[in-house]
Amino acid sequence: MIYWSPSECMDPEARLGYQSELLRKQVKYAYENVPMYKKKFDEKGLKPEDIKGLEDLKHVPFTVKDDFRENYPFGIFAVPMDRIVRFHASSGTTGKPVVVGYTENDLEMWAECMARTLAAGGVTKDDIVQVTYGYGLFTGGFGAHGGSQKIGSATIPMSSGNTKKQVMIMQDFGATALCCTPSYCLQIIETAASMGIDPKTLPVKKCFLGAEPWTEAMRKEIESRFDVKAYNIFGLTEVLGPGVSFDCKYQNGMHINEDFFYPEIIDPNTLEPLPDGEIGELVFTALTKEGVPVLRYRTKDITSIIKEPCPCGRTGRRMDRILGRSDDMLIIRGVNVFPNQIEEILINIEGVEPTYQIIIDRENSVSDNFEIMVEVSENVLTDEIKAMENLKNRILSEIHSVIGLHPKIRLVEPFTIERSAGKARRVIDKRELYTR
Amino acid sequence: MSEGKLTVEQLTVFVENRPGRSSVITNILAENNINLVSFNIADTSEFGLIRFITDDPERAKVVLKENKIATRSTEILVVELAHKVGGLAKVLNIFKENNINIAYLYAFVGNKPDKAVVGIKVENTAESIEKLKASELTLLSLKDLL
Repeated sequence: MIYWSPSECMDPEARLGYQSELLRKQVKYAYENVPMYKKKFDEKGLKPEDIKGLEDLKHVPFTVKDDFRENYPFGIFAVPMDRIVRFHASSGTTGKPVVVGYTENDLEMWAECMARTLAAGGVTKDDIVQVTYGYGLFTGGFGAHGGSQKIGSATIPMSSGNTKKQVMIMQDFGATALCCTPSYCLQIIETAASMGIDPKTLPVKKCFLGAEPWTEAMRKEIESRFDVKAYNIFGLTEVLGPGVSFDCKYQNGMHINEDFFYPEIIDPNTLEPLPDGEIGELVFTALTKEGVPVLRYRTKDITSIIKEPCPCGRTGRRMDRILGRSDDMLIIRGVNVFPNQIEEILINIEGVEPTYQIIIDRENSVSDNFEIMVEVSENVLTDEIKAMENLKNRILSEIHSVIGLHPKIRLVEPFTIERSAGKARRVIDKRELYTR
Repeated sequence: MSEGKLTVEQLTVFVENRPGRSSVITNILAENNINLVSFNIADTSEFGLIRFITDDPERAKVVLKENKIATRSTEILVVELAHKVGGLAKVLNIFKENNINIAYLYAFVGNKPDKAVVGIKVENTAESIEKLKASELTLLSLKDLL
């Protein structure tokens, strides 16, 4: 099967009319069912009927991550709870997660999007799909699972972690497709090798990698060491989860499921829409979502839209690799981390001054090394090792409880963190994720 | 034996575990003509705590601070004991018998040839002083060490 659904090849002109129709309905739906959208429209003196089609989309107010935080947990939900059948969530800026709810129809649409994603990489009902994204509030596991199940593939719901067991199951069950983050894919390759198994002899032939930025160099490395095709997949909790866009076999940009998500690229400074081909911030409007409608969600991801037709025949416009962020969000081991979160945690530990530096690298091509250096100020210095170790452990546990990761905490001498214009440099990211 | 204070002011500096860090401290003190009475490094795999007693703790704090080095001041017990077999054992038994936990202890050079000197940080300083005195052990002040 080349395409999962004929809608993937819809005539682009006809699609514009279809999208305009959906947009009109969705704007009205959001306005009438979510007080936040009504307020945003009213403040601009805008009526839902002013939005007559895609040409008016530029007038619609933006939605941002903070809107989710301020309306935590269910403020953006457009339906009563009896219609919600699933929750998912991702980390927010201040410890409160972004919460989304899905209706039955939303889950059906999501499964459709992920089925298209997997089918584009050649997955059929004959495949055995190992889903190594986490199952839980994170959208990755259940998202990939839904698509695999819709295709009718034999799905292994492995979730993340226990890499040796991942390799064993992969080998024993004969998994032909793998869904995970690109860094975890590399870790699986490393682990197989350390177990004396040549990764090339493993049955996996296609990988669906996403949830964090990665590079063409990483793709080449994975494809050559694992003997697979590595497909880039894209999505975000606020908009859907995985399945917003995906690589086809040409691997030359990710096709957006345009019948469900209308993309725009805006100038992050002027907020004006930019024509296809120009680099700016990616914005999505979900055209059919019922549980949590999103209008013009600013992803903060920097990329461009490729308008040239793709030889695969899909007409959904493609988005390029993510080239960077328009905010300071870091994606570490698939988890969204804001330096401000770290700062807030440190400030709240008595005596600790928020002079810190986050260092991330991916040395030896395995999962991200995540280290936080914290200066030992006069206020926290003691004469006992035990007390210093306690401080270190306390910082670690507070950070873990908020962001769910275990960074290495390194206590350093005062005034040793590099400062520019008096302010410490907060982040050193050595991963070079955004080079192409 | 000193009549007044029965504890000695010790300074602590945090250092990362890499070459040359301790000498930074000793060089600053030497350049400022401050003499070290004791010097001890407690290490972990990543960092160390340098604990030391100087002949002029007030000035040591000032010159280190001028060099952007933070110090922590702690009062510790300095016990003089017989420089012979069982000398330290006698002291430690007192803590054991009274169920007093020792945070750390290090020995250094005193100024009497037949005596040894140990610096001790305990959880309960007041009680320790009482018990040590009752056992006729000598607690030294900074003056006694100069």
